[in-house]
Amino acid sequence: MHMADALITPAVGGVMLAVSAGAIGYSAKKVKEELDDRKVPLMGVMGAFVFAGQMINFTIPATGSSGHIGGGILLAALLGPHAAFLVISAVLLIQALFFADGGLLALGCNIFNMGFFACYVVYPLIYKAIINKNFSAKRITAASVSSVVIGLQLGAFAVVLETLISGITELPFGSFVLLMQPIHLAIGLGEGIATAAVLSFVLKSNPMLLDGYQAQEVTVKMQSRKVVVILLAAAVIIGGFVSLFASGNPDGLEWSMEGVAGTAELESDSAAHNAAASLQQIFSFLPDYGFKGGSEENAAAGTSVSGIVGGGITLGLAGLTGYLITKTKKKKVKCQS
Amino acid sequence: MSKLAESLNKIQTLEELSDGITVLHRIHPMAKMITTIFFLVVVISFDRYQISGLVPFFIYPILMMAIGEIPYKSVLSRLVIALPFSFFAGLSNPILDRQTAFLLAGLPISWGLLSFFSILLKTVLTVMAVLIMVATTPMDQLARQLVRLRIPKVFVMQLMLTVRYLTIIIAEASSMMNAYHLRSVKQKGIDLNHVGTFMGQLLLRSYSRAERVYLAMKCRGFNGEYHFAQAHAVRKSDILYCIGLCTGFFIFRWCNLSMIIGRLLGQ
Amino acid sequence: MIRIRNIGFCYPDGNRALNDISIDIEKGSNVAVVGANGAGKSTLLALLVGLHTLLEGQIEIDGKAVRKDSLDEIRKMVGFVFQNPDDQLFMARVYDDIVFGPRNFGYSAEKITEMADTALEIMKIGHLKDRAPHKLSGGEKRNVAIAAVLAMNPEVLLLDEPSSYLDPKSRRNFILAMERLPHTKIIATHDLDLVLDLCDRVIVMSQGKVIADGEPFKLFFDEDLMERSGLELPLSLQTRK
Repeated sequence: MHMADALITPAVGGVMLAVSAGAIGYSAKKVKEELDDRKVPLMGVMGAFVFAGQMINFTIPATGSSGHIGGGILLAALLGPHAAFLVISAVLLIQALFFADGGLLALGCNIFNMGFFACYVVYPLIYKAIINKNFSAKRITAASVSSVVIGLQLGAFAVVLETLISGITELPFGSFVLLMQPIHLAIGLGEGIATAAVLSFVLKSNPMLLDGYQAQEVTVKMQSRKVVVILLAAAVIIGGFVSLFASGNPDGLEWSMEGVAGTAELESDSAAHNAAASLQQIFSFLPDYGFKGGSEENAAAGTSVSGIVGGGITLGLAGLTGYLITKTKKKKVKCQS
Repeated sequence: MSKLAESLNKIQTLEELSDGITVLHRIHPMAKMITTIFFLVVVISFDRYQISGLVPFFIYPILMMAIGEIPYKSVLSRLVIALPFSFFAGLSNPILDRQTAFLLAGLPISWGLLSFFSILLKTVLTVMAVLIMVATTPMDQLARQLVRLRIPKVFVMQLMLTVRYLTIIIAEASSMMNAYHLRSVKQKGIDLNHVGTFMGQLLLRSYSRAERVYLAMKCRGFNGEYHFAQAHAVRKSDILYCIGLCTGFFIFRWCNLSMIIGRLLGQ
Repeated sequence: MIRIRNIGFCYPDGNRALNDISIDIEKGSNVAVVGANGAGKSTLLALLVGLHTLLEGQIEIDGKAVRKDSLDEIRKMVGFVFQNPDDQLFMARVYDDIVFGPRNFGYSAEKITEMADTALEIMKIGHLKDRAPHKLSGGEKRNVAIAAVLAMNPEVLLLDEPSSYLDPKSRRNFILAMERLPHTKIIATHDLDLVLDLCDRVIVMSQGKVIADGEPFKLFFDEDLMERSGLELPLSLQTRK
């Protein structure tokens, strides 16, 4: 659910970048206040760990699907929320730069969706509340799974809002929400289970690494298979609920594409038209172009044909120049060698 | 190739590219950063039905890819990751917005189709622009510029450390994966029952590595304060690069080059 | 001159690593510390730069006791080259790593450049300056790690398993580089051939204690000693036996 640049407007991207930059400033200050200079190398290496960990898939028994660890909650549980927020932000920045996984202007959105909710909303309000200073495998499992699931739900919902406010896609709110939330419920369960498994391992082998841990007795760990069964049951029940609610809702939430299209078209009609009209006036160099003139439709056709021809030529020229540069460069290399 | 090996490969390719010696590599990183951000802002500021206005913007990536000697293969591998989300989010447009915008050779083209293609074009453009920046500028130089932009040092330092240890931890994870798969039959991923131990093991290894790194830093007098080297001085050519390109983007934003050329030919 | 007097150390998990060790090391000497895994070699080196706090006894370097409040001075005098260069080289560029130490000690910009350039020259790695550490070969990494320590202009060099990760040629180059350096060197290693090439004195450790101290050629032929300390006769001596 990494947001792409193409789906947002500069305003949305800018606002979210400012918000996330502010949060980074705040957490950096908090990390410095902790006065533990041991933490920065740890944060760096943990960033690399989460990065690698997200590429290790595991198989979920009896479903045939696979998942991987999540970032935010796992990091917060190990490093505390402030350091975790910095790490997850850095990981997202690197993912955008190295892999184009998420856009650069959309980075603010992504940090907010995947870092802020996990570290500053879910971790203190849900994870810590469930653990309640009583670290046991059961509590860690319950806390991780519910935190990851809720964190992802919040993040997915934020994706919907950011996309809708940007207004680049036509997806109506209801359908978009119904598309995003269940998918991320499934993803969240997978990530939650993996996060729980890793944190339970840490609890067993070296509990001092857990944020807020004070030495205490470790209780028996829950069988991971049992956990899966319970969670799957929960997923089925929740899934069933959502679809019941969906089909009973009169707002055109039937999942047949035609149905959605039919109802939504009415809403977007005038908006689209107005936008198109103003667009032609604002963005065209001369307002009165076209091949033949005459009826409105023909004018539009003329415009678009000009656009396509002109665009094609521009692209062709650019391509040719690029090709020539590459060619001459290669020649130069040959001469040198 | 496993996902780990694949991304390791990608990172290494990118790093090799950024070590190049073309004119573009020598431009000051700050100039490239500003230009890239400006390009991104201008591209995504276009209205959602705009296509012809976007096309001329391909001039920038195409020329820069040629000048910076960046292979197109790397664009493709990035698009594989970036496109799906844009694609599916945009897919609803041609379905939901079927009002005909114009007829092209007798075929009705809907507004939804226009906006869908507009999203795809924007995706390709933004992905290419970021690629050009990272393929011609080493990561540590970019990070250094962040300090200049007043991004907290703690953040920048741990960002650099993450980049530094990325390849090492991925390689470590990758050899653990190989060892795991050599002793397990017909499994695509790690069995859920082993996730805790497997990932936990990698985690503990990462922890002890962090501890050793910290001690090594301590041995060389580290006391919690990070010192960053000064970046190279800004030259006239850097300013020219930045202002020139940004002006170009600005002009392209308000004059639809495609339309002008198309109209000239039409007459 | 290094004076180690009756030192002892316990890890927090209760594992006793060192027991009543006393050693004197002359300025400019090359001393090897050998012994089986877990004999306490690395712990001894770590104590010399104050990475752990002594439980018993005292260490003095050039008359300066290794204590919490003297660590800055001690670390200026004593350079520690880690076993794994990847743990030591954490900056994204070789040059940044080399100036990391001098920068931390607050030298002037010109002085820092000078110190770094000298270190690069001693190790003959000027050409690696702008490279990324993780892209270097094992031998190059080792040389950079040593240069990063030399840049702080120490009097004593501590090297932990310096010939691990090295192919034969890099190992040979490493030995040649070490021979050029006038520093007092303490080398913890399993590589006894390296000891023969480089060191005039060897300290044999076993289970946290020093069990022998003397000339390498003499000690390595003592079969009983080698057996007790979990070592074997160096390859280069095996044919002469």
